[in-house]
Amino acid sequence: MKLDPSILARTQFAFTVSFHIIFPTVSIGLASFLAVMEGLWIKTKDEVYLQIYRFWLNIFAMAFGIGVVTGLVLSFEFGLGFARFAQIAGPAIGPLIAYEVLTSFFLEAGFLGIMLFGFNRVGPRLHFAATCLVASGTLFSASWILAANSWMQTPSGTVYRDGHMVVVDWFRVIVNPSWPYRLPHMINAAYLTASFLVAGVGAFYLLQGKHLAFARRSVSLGTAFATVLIAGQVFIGDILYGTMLKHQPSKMQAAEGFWEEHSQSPAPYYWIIIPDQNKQRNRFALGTPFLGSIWLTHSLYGRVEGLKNTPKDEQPLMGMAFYGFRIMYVLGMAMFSLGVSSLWLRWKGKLFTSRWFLRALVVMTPSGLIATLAGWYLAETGRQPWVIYGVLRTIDAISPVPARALLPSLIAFVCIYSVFMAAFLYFTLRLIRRGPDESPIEANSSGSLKNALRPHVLKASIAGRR
Amino acid sequence: MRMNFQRAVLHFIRAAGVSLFGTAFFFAIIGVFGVRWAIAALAVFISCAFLTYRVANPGGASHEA
Repeated sequence: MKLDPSILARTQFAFTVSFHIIFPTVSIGLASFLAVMEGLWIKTKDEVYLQIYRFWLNIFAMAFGIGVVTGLVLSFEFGLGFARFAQIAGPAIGPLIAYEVLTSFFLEAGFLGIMLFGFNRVGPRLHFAATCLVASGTLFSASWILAANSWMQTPSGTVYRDGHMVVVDWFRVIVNPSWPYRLPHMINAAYLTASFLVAGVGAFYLLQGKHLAFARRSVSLGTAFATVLIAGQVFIGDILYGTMLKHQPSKMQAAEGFWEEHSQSPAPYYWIIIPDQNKQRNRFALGTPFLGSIWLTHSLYGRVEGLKNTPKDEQPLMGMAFYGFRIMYVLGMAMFSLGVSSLWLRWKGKLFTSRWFLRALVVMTPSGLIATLAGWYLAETGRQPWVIYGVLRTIDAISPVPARALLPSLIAFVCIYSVFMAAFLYFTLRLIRRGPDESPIEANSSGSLKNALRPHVLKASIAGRR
Repeated sequence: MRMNFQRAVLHFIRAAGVSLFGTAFFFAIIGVFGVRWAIAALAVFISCAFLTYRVANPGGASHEA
């Protein structure tokens, strides 16, 4: 069997980036959540906030570590599997990734140690400042990476000259047409992920009748954040939809599952399709009548544009984009329903006793992660066959290397990442099973970092830990 | 028997009404009626969420949101 190097390179990147995005999503969401928890603890001195902080700090640390390691791999993969892309798009993409390192990694590297190990070495306010700076670092990181990826989706501020994308306007490269909407969409997704993780774990303890104070506060906070965030998310999502329809029509045509240049009137909203890309039609389609017209054209009888509006050799695979979008959308609706239900139950005073609701929260614990992954599948597969939309095709971006050079690294990545994932799940589930640490912790009130680094303080602190 | 039937009908009407209202509200937020309605619906939703949190917060402290 002859292996195609382009398929291997794409499979490798798809696998490593899909694995990677799980961890930054968790760490971006949890970092800001931790900052809020610590801020509330400092303000109220309520120990439950501190318990929540300490519990989620461990999981944040693991997600952060794996996120950094697997993120570094992606930069190297540009050179390994996508050398032509690196050569052509390097002048625009390279500095954006370098800015991420300078603004985000340096900030996180400087303060992560204080956040993780400095609780009884520095004062609470300094520790809180460290948590806030790490949380800011995660947001800066997301901003630069979203700028780079959004430029690939909606390139602007560059011209193609002598085999390179030459930057003519940095502002337009960074603030490209999709970045202002994709960035809040992603950050909101990370916050939603964290909210459902926190609420889901709290609901799990409530159903088990364990750690009740911790569990109640977790469910209360998680559902409150999730309710507001999901409403904002569908709103931002709608604006982003309009932007992508204007700048990347083929992606949205594929995402809606219509083939004909103009759909029937009224257009249904498809939930399940079996597309046949070669024959340019659906072998099977199941949808709700009228809903497509109402949602997509904002009228009762509007027609929706299909994928045949895009030349066949420039079409993305409909199935991938369609199901990426549908999974994200259906999960979003489920989150919205749970958010509204939580408001109602809170009003009725049954938020912590309604078993169906608590069970639903437990089931929805990973929903933010799944929706985020599905959204990225829509974003990336919907951009195909382009790696830089309308400029450079993916097939022309791949390194001129034989399949035998790519296969061993792909196998190695699958093996090593499987170990990473198994370890992350094992330790996370062990932490959840063990529950929050309810022993009191004494924060050092001496305040400054300078004091914390004095030899006798360090010595006392280390002895205290033993 | 009659009372039960009446109650069931009333329950159904109320459930259908709430579902329709919820659907219209969701449509408003996702922009079906335009951006202005979407912004207004979002503002109403967040205000309701905040109010509910402040007034009926059974577990946590009142300053949590």
